Amino acid sequence: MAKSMKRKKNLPAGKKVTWKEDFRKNGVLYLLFLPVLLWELLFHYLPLPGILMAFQDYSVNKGLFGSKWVGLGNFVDLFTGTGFPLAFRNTLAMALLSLTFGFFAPILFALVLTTYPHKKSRRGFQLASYMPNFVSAVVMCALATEFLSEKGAVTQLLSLLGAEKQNWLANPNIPVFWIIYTMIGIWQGIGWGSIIYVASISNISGELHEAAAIDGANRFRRVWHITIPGILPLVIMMWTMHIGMVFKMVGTNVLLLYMPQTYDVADVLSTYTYRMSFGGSNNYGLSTASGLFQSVMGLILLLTSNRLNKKATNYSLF
Amino acid sequence: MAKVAKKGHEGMVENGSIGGQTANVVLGLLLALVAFCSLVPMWHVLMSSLSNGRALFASEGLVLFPKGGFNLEGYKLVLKDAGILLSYGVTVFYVAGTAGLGLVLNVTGGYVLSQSSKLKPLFLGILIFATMFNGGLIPTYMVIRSLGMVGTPWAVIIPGCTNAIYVIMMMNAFLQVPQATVEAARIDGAGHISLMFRVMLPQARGFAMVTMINTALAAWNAWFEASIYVPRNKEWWPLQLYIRDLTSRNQDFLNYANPDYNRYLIQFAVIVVATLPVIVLLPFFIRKLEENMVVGAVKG
Amino acid sequence: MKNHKGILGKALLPMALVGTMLLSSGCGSQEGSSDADTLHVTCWLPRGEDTSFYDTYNDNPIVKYLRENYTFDGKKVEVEYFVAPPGSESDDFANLLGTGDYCDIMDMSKATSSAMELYQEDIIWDLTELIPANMPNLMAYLEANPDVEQDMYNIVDGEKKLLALYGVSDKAPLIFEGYCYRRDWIVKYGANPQTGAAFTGGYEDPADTLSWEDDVVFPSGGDEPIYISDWEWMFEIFQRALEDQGIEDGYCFAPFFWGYQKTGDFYTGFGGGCPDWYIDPNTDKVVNGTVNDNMRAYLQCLNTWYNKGWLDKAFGEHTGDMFFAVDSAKVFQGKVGAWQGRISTVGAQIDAGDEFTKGAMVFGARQPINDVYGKAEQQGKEPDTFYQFEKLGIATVLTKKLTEEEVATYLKYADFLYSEEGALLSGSGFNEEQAAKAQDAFYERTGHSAGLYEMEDRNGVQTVVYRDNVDSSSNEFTALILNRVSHRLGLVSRIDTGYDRYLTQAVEAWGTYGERNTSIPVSVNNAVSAEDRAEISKIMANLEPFLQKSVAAMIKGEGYDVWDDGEWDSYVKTVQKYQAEKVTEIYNAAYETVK
Repeated sequence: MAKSMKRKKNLPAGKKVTWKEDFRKNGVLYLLFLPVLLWELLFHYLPLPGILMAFQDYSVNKGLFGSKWVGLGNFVDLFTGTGFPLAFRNTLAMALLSLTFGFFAPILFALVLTTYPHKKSRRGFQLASYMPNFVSAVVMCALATEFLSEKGAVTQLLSLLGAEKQNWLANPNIPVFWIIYTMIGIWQGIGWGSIIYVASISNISGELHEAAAIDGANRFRRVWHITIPGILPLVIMMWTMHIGMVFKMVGTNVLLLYMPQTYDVADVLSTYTYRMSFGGSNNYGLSTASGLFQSVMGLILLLTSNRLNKKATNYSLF
Repeated sequence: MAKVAKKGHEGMVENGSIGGQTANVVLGLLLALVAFCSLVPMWHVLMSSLSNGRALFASEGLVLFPKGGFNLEGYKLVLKDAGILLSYGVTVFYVAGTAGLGLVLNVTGGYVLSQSSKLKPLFLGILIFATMFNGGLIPTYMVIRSLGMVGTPWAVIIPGCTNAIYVIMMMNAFLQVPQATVEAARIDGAGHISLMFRVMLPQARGFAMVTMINTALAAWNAWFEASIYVPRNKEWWPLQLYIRDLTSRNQDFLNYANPDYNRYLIQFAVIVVATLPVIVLLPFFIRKLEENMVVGAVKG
Repeated sequence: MKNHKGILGKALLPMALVGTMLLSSGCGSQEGSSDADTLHVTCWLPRGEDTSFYDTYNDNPIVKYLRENYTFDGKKVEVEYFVAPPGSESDDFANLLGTGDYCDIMDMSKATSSAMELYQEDIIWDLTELIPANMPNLMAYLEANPDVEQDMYNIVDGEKKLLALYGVSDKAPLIFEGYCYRRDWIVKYGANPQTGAAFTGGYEDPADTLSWEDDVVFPSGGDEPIYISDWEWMFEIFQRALEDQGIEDGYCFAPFFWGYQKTGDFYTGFGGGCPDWYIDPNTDKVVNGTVNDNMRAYLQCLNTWYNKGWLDKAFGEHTGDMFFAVDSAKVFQGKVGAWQGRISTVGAQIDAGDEFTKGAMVFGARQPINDVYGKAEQQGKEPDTFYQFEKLGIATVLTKKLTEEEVATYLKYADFLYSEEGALLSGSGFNEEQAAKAQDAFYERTGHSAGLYEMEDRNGVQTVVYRDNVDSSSNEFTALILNRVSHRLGLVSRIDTGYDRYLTQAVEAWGTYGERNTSIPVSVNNAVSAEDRAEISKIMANLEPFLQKSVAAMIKGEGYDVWDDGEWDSYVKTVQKYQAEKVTEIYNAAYETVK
């Protein structure tokens, strides 16, 4: 398990392998990779020039080669819009919550699940937790809206804890909307997101656990000393992937949840761009520019986090 | 490991320990809470679909029991179109196609990346870059069109069968396989293919299954790809696109006098119709996943 | 269920031949299929019919009938329809245009580029001369309706051009929504404003829900609400009704989500126009309706109502509601006094026999006229801008994939749909004779082999009266006629709607102020260049959230104080900071070119 990710120390030391040697040794490997490579090239890299739309006043009919070039004009429009600073701040805030609570909730759920000994009921819990994945976001958000309304179940519960009764979704104070948004995300994804961790935990050698049990370590100590280190490489890998995409993921439900009085805290880059590029004229250039901006931000985050992880834990994605 | 796993560990309560018992109760409550919260939306949808349309339309909030009495009219409206049954078949074909093809790509890709070679960093870089940037809808459409796939089911199956994350996930899974096992097989003269499928895949099947379930489920829920690539080939419409069509056709029922409120139920009935097969099949997959799962608690 | 063999066969065959299949999804070119006897054209539609009716739109009974029974220029015209998948209509349109796979004929209702752009990129035909040469029926209509003709033109380089074929109707189609109020509450809790006597009313015959009679009189003297003061009187009654019945979560009136509707509506009673850009008839210039005195009077009114507790307190919080069906659940629970509703709430329709809806009687109300708030200019002026249907319908363009000769033949074919015979056939389906001739399987399966309607003389007008087994509000009906093809003449004034007396009352009330409209007309929008439209989008993307936010707050008395001149000024200044005046300039420039 410890080798599950590239560890600096384990790199073959010294001797340089020449290309010729490498091909002789790994030629079959490269051949095997051909289908995946082909797939990536065809469906990801070949359409990639589409990104150039970000620098164009793109017209569908004229195509990529016929449209007018506008340099960084789309980016200027994007960044100088009055809504941009708030949308950017909100995106950052919600991304941060998603990277912390949103990301770790499924892991916690997987740990609790695999620690629970009653097999039958465990399976039932697991199956139940997958259900939100099949209900549309519209229904989920409508229910959330109901629960958070002035008479809603959650509002009642919170009022028992001393909070004033109110429509929580209409609360414009920081960080109410952000927390609600994150909680709804967890509600939708905790079960399904845990599958991968459950699978990883199931791969951890039982002998390790057994040995530890014989040594008298209780369940929770074993989780701490065996399970968590066991899934750590996976967690770091998932986190790195997650951080790269977090900007693009934020905001999928916002359109269903926000209202004029919470615009200031709920507007995110995706809703802002949507308004900006599809209110009457389809501005493909601007929406591509915004997508590109989010990708680049993601890439920077991904590279930074990869480097930090490498330093701190010795595990890294690449 | 395999042996321990197969025995299973039902009822592995920490013997005699009161602390263990209490912990089980706490864990159970926690899980039950999550399960309960997760079931609420589906229950709401199910009960709504069985309600009286008029009563449901006037109701606010969670529907715990069918409003205004039990009523199957919504399902009648959904199932009266025989096309929906056929689209089940099409969806199964898409699911099987994407999951099968995806498995092959994920496993071979992951295997190659798990071996050290000079080109590996490049390959990995290509994959990671691909997760971050994409060319957008129209350029992708142009590529798929020039491959002659538009209008055929391949346009739905092939571009959706894998993605870089799954390949990287499989790489991670293969890297977890103990080096000793791999070396032993190598000494026995195993080539890449037999090493990959015979030796390593069985030990990484948990991950392989996770990627497969994810791909299959995404294919089950997908409608956008079909709506773009096989828009006018209704015989290739998956269930979800059919459902979307049906739902959008019935949204304007209030624009008429004496509306048929059962049309309001369609949006709920279709969710149930589309989820039922998955609910039947999922426990099977969970059991498969559990076969090599070791519960945190081992008989002390 | 009988005709599903067709689709079953079609589905199984390709499944068996999966490997060899290579279908085309776009319209492609249909060369070779047109010959001396037949013109074959392809036509893209954003929407088709349910497959439980028939497989594709080519099997539509009217499409088949037109194909088999008519010739134009000595040719049969065979239109092959390509229908967009649900929910991706615009993507489909963009893809077809972007790849060059577009059809010969494209419906523009989900278009991602304007007819003007398509013309400038040489994709579509200029029909300025082709329509007069080939479409006598349409030309006759345009001569009789110059207002419609005006809106059809695009201005290209200073020249008036007809770039599209538009659907039209002889009268604006009836609106299916408007203000509704609980007449039964007024009867029960109100009293005659002159005499103070309690109202009486109810069903003459308790078994007959069409027998409602009452003696309600409004302060303005008539039996329906006309002025804002009538509405305020009504709200006082509703407040009593709510209190008396112990309804705590109800309210007298539900304004729209955000507190205003860009199409005008309630706002327009406060001096005319709409809370967006509109043409001020006094100055004949485009003005910004979000910052003028009309807006202020409107906001003062709503703010007063809010403070009196008449409005839905949560009017700005309806996140999940569909468009303007604001809080319809409460309406159907019988807890709301007045609302903007569709015809499905009029009359006794919301009476479900339960606590609050039992005996409910809902009448339609016209747009109210302000007589309370603002200055003289904001008072006593009839509404002139609100959401309504117009005589001018959806555009359809003919692409250059057709030769000029083919365009001419197709226009002749299309012109038939603007004749009386063609309009009846496409808009009301088969009459008895046509049904007998067509022997259409779908008509027979649905029990309409005797045709859908008969003509009856109604006050000297030959009127379409549908048979009893025809439900003209059903999906089935739209599949029986040529509903999805938009370039045809609608005979609205000559169709018996089959509405009962309540629906008739409501529709008439909603249509009281007729077909006026001062919002930016299609022709002005057509004259705005693509760059300018992008500019407007950018400005609005930032301005609109501000407006929505501040209007809701002003109504609640939480934002700018609408009663205070200084605060109102600073609201106006903030709107202008968002470059609102630039939008006004763009529209005015465009308006100048089409005047």
